[in-house]
Amino acid sequence: MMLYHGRRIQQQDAVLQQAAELLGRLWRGENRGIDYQGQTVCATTTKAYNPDYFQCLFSQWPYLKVGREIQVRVLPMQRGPDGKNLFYALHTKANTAMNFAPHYHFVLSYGRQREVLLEAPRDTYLPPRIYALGPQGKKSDLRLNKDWKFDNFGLHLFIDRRLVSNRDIKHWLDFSRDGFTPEMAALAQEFSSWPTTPQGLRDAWWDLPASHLTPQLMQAYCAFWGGSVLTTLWFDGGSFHPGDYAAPRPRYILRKKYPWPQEQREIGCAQIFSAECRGQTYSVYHQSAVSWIGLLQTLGGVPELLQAPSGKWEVKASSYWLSRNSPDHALGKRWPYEEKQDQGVGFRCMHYE
Amino acid sequence: MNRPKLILILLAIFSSGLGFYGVWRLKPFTGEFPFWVQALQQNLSSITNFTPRSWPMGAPLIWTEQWEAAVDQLAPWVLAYQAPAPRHLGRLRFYQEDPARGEGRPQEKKGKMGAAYELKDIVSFSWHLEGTALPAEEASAGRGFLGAPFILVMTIAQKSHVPQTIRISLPNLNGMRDVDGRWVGDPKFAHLHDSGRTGAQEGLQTYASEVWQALQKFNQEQFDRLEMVSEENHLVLCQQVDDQCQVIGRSTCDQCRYGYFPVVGRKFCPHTGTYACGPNHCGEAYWPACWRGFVASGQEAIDYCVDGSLAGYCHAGLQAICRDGLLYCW
Repeated sequence: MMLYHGRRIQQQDAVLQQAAELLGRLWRGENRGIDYQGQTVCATTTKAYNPDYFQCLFSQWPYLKVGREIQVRVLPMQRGPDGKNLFYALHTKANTAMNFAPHYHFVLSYGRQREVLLEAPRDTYLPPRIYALGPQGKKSDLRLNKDWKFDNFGLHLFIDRRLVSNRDIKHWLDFSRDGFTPEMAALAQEFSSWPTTPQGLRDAWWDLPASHLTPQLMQAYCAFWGGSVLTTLWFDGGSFHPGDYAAPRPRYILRKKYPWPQEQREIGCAQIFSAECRGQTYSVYHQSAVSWIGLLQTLGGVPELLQAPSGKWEVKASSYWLSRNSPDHALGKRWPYEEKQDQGVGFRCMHYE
Repeated sequence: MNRPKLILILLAIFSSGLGFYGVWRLKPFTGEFPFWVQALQQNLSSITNFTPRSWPMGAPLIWTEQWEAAVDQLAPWVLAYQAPAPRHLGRLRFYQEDPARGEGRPQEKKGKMGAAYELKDIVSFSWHLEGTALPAEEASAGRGFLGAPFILVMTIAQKSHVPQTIRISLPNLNGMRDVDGRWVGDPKFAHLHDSGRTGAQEGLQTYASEVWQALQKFNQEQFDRLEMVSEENHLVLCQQVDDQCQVIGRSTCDQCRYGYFPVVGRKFCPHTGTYACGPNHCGEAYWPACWRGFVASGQEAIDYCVDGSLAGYCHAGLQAICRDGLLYCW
């Protein structure tokens, strides 16, 4: 009996492992060959990294089929703002004692076994090194040591890989029990007026960078997750390619124009999402201008707001408002932020651990 | 088919591990994995020193040294990790630093640094240290027992394989330090107990049960009672270090409602530091100076907390001033 019991647990574990792999693929938007109900009812263009899509799917039928017959249950986790059961749990700094907060998690159940799946951390680590601010300038400046240098030895600093999306803001507002400021209430009102599909799903707008928040609202969002809006220092640190990875204290901090280590044969939308690319699908997940530590869209895409050491807000110059040939598609180039500008600005957060 | 034959066939199916579940899409382990684990166990079981080198996360496409472990003064063993990136899987390398060269480099050829044990196709990796290293105040009160063995726990997931958790006991590793006759927990181990991070690409990760339990700690009621929030003229310090880089008392930074941020103090502490609860308003008037760093600023100093210190920076029109051993903006 003991042997059979142990074997049974092993088999339940094996089933859960397979279900976990299927759920992982679904989460990434790779749904070929996965059998689940509700896929036509929950039609949406944004299947990947979309907890609202999962919510629709599992509200239809809270199971995942493994093999031919086995149904693995997806457990309801918490109540949503409308009082209905949610099949994911949203973690915030508010309800997580740990140093980091993965945003979503799911629980699969089969027999007496359970498997917990957490969203992989959406941020990336900045290795301890000496860095320098802004573009490189002349070679003579390098030798004269005119760079404004800084370092993160002794710190554990993490930067969001991607910009904050409209969906991120929506969930922050839905689950934020700190009490709304008038600004947050106005933002929530604006979000609720966006048209929805019959099942309560959203379309591609929700995966776009949240680009009409004030810097104060951006800071409030990042603080909710235990961090603050990214500064120019760490943006430069995470986007300029360091050259020799193995030398964390180089004499000269090289800062080339582009984030990639070698010259590219041609620069297209996969390298920089410029004005010519605006007809293509775009979201916070668009993998262009990926830096050495994995920051997405360090060039191109929506203009990004950063805080300079002076305390003033600056906007990354390179964006999808500029043609591919513009000389402003260069790391470190920034313009002052003007509050009333028409072009929205996106942002991302950083935090310490 | 007669009954005994049927029973035998059923037994054969069950004992083979295949069951009725069709294809085993996830393999339990591959040929190289047990040898890799064996190499670690053989070389780590007698270590007396353990030094974390990097926060257990790693960065994509670059090698980050996670920790080094040594027996007394012998050449240390290092674990280096290259986290996965889009279209690249990660790697783990376990090697002994070459004392003749002074420093081992994982990206160089094997011949130059002797034996190196490598594991490829890593999807996720995390490690932490289990053990009963006591927090400082419990040690000084004489409660509990000292020197219980640490256990190095590593969870590794290779592509198409079931995630494996390895536990290596480190019975000769002493987690306590004698400071002026008091046993205190070595601060370099302070943050290593709840590291649930993995350096994986976007996706869903299965997590160890102790991480799951830690996640369950809070509920809304507890959060609503979290009052550790810094305000102008009222900075809440959740962790403080003394001039020997020892954490004073207990760190309560996980109780900060809005996260925490580093504050520049007198000394450069490579493994720890002073932190204040968020929200982070560093650089503003009456708030701490923002971190610039002790190394890059170029000034070698006995005491970095001086007016005008380059270890921190303030917003335009403000100056860095030292007050109570911390750098503020005025």
